[in-house]
Amino acid sequence: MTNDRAVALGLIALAGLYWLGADQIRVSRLEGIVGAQAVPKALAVSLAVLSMLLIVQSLLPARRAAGGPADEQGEIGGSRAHLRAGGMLLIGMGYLAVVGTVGYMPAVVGLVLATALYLGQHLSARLVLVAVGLAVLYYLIFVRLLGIPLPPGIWPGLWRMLAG
Amino acid sequence: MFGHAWTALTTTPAAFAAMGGVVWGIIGGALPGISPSITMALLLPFTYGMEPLVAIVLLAATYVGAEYGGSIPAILIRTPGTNAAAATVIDGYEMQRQGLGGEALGISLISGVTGGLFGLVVLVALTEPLAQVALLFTPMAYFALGILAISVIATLAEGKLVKGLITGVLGLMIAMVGTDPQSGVNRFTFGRPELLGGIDYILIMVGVFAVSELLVQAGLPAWQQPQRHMRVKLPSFLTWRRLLRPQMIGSVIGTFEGCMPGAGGSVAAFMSYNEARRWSRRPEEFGKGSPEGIAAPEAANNTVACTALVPTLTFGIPGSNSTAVLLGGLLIHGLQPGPLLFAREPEFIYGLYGGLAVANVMQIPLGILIMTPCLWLVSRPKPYLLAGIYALVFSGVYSINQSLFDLWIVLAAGVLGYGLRCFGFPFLPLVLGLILGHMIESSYRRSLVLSSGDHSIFIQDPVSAGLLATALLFVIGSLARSWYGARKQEPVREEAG
Repeated sequence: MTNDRAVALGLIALAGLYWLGADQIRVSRLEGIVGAQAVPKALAVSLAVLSMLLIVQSLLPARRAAGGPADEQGEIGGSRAHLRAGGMLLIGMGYLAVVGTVGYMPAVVGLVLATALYLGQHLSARLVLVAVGLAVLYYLIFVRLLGIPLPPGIWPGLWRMLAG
Repeated sequence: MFGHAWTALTTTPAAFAAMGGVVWGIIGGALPGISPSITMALLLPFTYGMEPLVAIVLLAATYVGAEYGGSIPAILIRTPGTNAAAATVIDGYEMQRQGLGGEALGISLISGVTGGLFGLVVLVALTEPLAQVALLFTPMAYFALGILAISVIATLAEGKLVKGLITGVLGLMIAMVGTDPQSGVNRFTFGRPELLGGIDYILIMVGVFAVSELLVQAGLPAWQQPQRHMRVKLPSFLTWRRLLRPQMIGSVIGTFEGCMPGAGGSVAAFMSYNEARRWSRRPEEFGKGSPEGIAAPEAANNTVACTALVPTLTFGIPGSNSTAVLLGGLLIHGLQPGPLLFAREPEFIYGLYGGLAVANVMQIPLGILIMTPCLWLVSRPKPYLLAGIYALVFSGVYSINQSLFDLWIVLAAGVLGYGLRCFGFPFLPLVLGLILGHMIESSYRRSLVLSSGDHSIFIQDPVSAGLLATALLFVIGSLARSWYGARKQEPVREEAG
């Protein structure tokens, strides 16, 4: 099965789920001639129809002759590239998982260190300095300059507990 | 108009925003892989707390700066910083190899400013009269306009019409999330209060543009390092005179391409390069380090940075990723493009023109001044830069609503963007569907209220019928082009076989 057909099948499944979700939308007395379900249901049907067209298109002999599987590929190729991207994604997810607990500054230091190490930088005093420097710079920009509170983590509560 | 612009520039920090945007744009554009739209998307979260004029001038100036910034690595390391700078590589890198890198950068800078100012004049001349056309628009016409916009953008991705339409529908589907404004019922919120207000465009834009690029860059080799020291040398009067013709060619082509949704700076740059060579007195120098070969594409892509605002401001139809981000910025600040924007917010419109003028003019001193720090930054190891951008994305997005949930949405949008790129689906229809989703749905529902549920109202309304017919023509034209292209290749393959 080619990429396009596999993606199209996934999209048809998504269209089905979306239609079911649209069907669950409550009917309100306030709605007029067209209810809140109408457009989402039409979109689900459109997605299913377009996905089927994608399958048909990938089966057409002219299309196969013109491009073949290479024509279906995007700009990124190779399982190595996907693995690298997956690792980068995991680092981001790790940051989101801990930032609420450890607080902004330590989490950013961790994020910068993990990303740079993952992308091939060697662990060095300079790298640690860059990570800390970036965390401090962003803290100064967001908290001090723009007045935006960033996640403090458990530290203020812990401090209050120890002090009080 | 000049009075309004002057007042806006002197009573708000818009002029400083224009300069800051140019600096940020040059730096972002100079980083290979970081397109103008990503540079703008990274800035979007910071604009939330700003006055609308300051925010939009900052974003528009970033677009202007990024178009010049893209030519820096194109000239110095043969790697275009932006797609539009790809044509600049041909003669720019040749000049650099001949030891004329500083001169090439100077030509790029001056030509960019010439093109940008030309584009600004066109923008001022065309936008307001065109916006008056939008006064004829009924709800049916607005619905048809949204459908036309998505169809046009979907057809522009060569040979990917169905994929473009699919991503357009996906964008519309995301736009349905949240409380229905007409009936007040919740749609696809899964019991999460964070989703009641819908999914912010900004989260999807940052995810699809910036996070997906970070995921892609993780699998690519390190960037080539430029030399650390380079001085921009502005062209002499004689060279400048020689550049006038290619600059005008680039500006005229950039005007047409900018006003056409989807065409963008890269098409304009390559077309201008070809035309400049055709009309040149020294065509044999093209490809061997001709100053005209830099002037034409650079004038073209900077003209596009201004003229691409014509369809965005008049009809609310962005023609490129960068103008889609700009439109997102307008909507975030409650500014709905169209004729009413010109009637209700003249200070904003003229202030934006003034800001663009400042951005273009100040590009010359700023482009010269920040060359050294820019080269220093671009020559930092790629892991440091990507790690810094990753942290900036998370910090910037968190600052909007102070919500960690938003960050998960950004990450999910990044995965979606990466997936789209993997399977060759174009981005822009998704963003367009997301931005236009509310307008399309509300216009559709209002139209049916007017017609008591009769769908023929979309054909009876002349503007709507015309727009829908145009959308159909675009789709049929695209299908015919793909079919003809495939048929043309068949005999060649048979002969080869």
